[in-house]
Amino acid sequence: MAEPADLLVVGAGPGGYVAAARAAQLGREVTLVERGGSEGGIGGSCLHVGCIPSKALIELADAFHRSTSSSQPGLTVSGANFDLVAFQGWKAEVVGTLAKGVEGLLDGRRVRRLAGELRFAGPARAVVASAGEPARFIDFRQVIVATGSRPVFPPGLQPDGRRVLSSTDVLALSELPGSVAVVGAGYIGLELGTALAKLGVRVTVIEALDRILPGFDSDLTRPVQRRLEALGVELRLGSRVRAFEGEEVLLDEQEGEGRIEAERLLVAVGRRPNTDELGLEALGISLEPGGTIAVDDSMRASDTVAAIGDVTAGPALAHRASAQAIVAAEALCGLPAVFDPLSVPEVVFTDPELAAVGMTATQARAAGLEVDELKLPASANGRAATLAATDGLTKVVLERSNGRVAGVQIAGPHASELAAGAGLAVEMMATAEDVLATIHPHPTLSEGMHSALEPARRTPVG
Amino acid sequence: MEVEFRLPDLGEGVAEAEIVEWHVAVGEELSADDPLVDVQTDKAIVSIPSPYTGKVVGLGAEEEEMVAVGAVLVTVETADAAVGAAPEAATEAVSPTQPPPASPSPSPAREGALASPAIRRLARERGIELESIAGSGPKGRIQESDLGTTPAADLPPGGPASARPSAAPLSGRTLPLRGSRRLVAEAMSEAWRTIPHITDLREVEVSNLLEARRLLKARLESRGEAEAAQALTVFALLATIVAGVVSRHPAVNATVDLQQRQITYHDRVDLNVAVSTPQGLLAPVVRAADTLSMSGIARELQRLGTAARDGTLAASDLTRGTVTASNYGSLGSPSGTTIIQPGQTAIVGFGRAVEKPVVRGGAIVVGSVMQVHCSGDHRAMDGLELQAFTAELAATVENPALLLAERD
Repeated sequence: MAEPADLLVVGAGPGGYVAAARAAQLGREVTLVERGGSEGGIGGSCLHVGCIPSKALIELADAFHRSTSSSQPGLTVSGANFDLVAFQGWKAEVVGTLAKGVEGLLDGRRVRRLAGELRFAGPARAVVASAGEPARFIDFRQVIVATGSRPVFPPGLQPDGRRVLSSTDVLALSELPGSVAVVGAGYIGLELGTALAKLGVRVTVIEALDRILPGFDSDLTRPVQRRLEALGVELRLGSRVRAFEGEEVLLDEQEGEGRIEAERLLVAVGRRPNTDELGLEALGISLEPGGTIAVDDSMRASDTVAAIGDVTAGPALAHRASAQAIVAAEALCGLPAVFDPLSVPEVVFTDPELAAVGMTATQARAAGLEVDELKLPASANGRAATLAATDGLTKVVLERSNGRVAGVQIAGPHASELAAGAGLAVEMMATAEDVLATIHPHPTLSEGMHSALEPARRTPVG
Repeated sequence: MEVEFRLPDLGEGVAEAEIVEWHVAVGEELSADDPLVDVQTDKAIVSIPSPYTGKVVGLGAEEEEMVAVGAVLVTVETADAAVGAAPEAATEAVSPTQPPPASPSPSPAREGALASPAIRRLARERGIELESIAGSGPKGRIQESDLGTTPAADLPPGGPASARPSAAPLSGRTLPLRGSRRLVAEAMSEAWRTIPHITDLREVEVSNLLEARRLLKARLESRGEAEAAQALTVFALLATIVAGVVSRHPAVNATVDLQQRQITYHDRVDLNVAVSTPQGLLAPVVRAADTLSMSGIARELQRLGTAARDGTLAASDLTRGTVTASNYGSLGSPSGTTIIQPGQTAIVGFGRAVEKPVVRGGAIVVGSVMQVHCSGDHRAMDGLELQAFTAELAATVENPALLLAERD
């Protein structure tokens, strides 16, 4: 016999759990289904195998590197070492604590949680299967699909957990190999490749395109590339893996064949939406090329189905999923919610970090806006100098007609922390004068945006 | 070559105008002096003819959009390689001494109008297109007050609450508030919000006034001044009386500024007269009405009335005066109420004269009775001052001979 469910949420990542909590806050009876497993659980990939554990590893690697290199002038540390077993224990604690926090939030809002794999069996019916338990049928009134995404692997490069690794495998290592070839110069490959290099691993990055981080302007990625090279990371751009034999990676390169030595291969070439095993056709929902679910600006795929996060077209980012979650929950509760942010911030935890909010100058011009781009090198920032991290820059895009800050891009230390302030300016449609009239504390990295705007200060017309 | 024609300065502090109607479309050929576009300024719809001959290759704004003075109105592909200086615009409203600024200031009501996310959400909840709003903040920033006073459909503040369906759309026809309707709506809302009205309503026997008018008119006709005779309406006499009486009562010819905590008493009477036109209510101004002769006022009223109905009023005819008179009686109503214009402290309304029994010399006779309705701004005056003004006005309307006393 089927159980009724008022609002069903599938997936408990940063999309699903936020949607469940918001809908419950609005008075709905919410059932949240999470399959768990090695790639997820309450909090999703982000908490268990993504954002959170990778930042923990990056922090460890950076601290170790500063202790053992000359990157911190005046500091010499003898006997600096790291213990990956201890690190893994601490990381598990961090993840566990945060997951408990999410569970506490859901329990406090009286969200019913079910563990198991869900498949849709009809326009308003789903089956939840869990090992060792009878299948449960759920008749739902509305559903929010928030099943996220998973890494993709090219043929022949399926991870085996020993020689060919996924990002999840790397984050779980208790022992480091001597050398790693990273396939993919996107943000996951470069973040983990940088961390491995700082921990003393010999790293080669193999990328089919002729540049790293193609989503970012090249003047922002240049400091990252310089730093990778300074860390001894070899970049093989315009290059593809043909085979991985023994400790040898065979490459197809523009100039012909290439080969590099690597004990392990880390494959980080992209992610695909988890929409293929849900039985979405039973809902009458069709998929777009690429496997994403088509939604309107209220995140609805139909009157009763909403989809959020990585299963919708756009960057696969936790904070995008959470923002869409609020919209979907409110829209399904009949409120006039729309997902139309001026900025979905993108941050990359490379060295230096990258942050982009709002529009780049190129995007703005393509959208028909007349804009000016103001730039300030990190070397002009006092705090960056004291961090011995002056390779970077801040770019501010100003709409010419009204002077508003249309976008900000930053390459520099702690750029990820600067994204929120810049994003607030973009969303508030602050003008250059608004930002200039806001006193920024000295000496901080946050002054970068303020200083970059200095040339836009209005001067009296004679 | 392509030439741009920018919205000319329409004078009298007009910074922007709303596009009411385009008479051309992209791709169409047009000749110099062909009607190009109708724009709505503070009060008038001004028709702007094309200064160029050629083919329209681009329009600078959609209908209903606000355009700043100096912003590109239209781009025309002309046949000549060289075009002279942009012709001065084409309406008498244009002040030739003020060329359009070199760089147009941004028009506030356009795509990308400045607004915070909370305001954008509020607008969405209220079904308001932000592009249709002219923000009152710096650089046209849209603030909550610009979205009107409808209370926000606030979300339930946590806790158990049942989800509500979105608000049902209003049934019937919903149209954008635009043109002079919008301007009247905004001005009257401001007046009603900010001006505490006090009123004095009097019934006046106007047989003497009507007789005076008959005599004056007959005199003009006998002199062969048919036009002047025709211009001498009852309202021309009433406006003459108003201008004279107002000039002796400073409180009804003033401007209150509560923010600056000051009141300005004007040293001349610029009399706005309400005129109903096909485009809506207009209030052109008779300047320095207190210094004009009766026939001068009559001529000016006739000119303004004709121009208003023809849509050819100049912007300078439409600036705010210091006091207003409304002849709503001409539309049939014997009695009515009035709302003071923002920036003024009084308005006088005249109803239609009707035959009524009146007591004269102890006997009941049939008289012509008109209601005179005066509203005053209580911030600028008390009942005493309003009554003093209304009493003198009513007495002079009842017996125009009192005008002679002014010459005493």
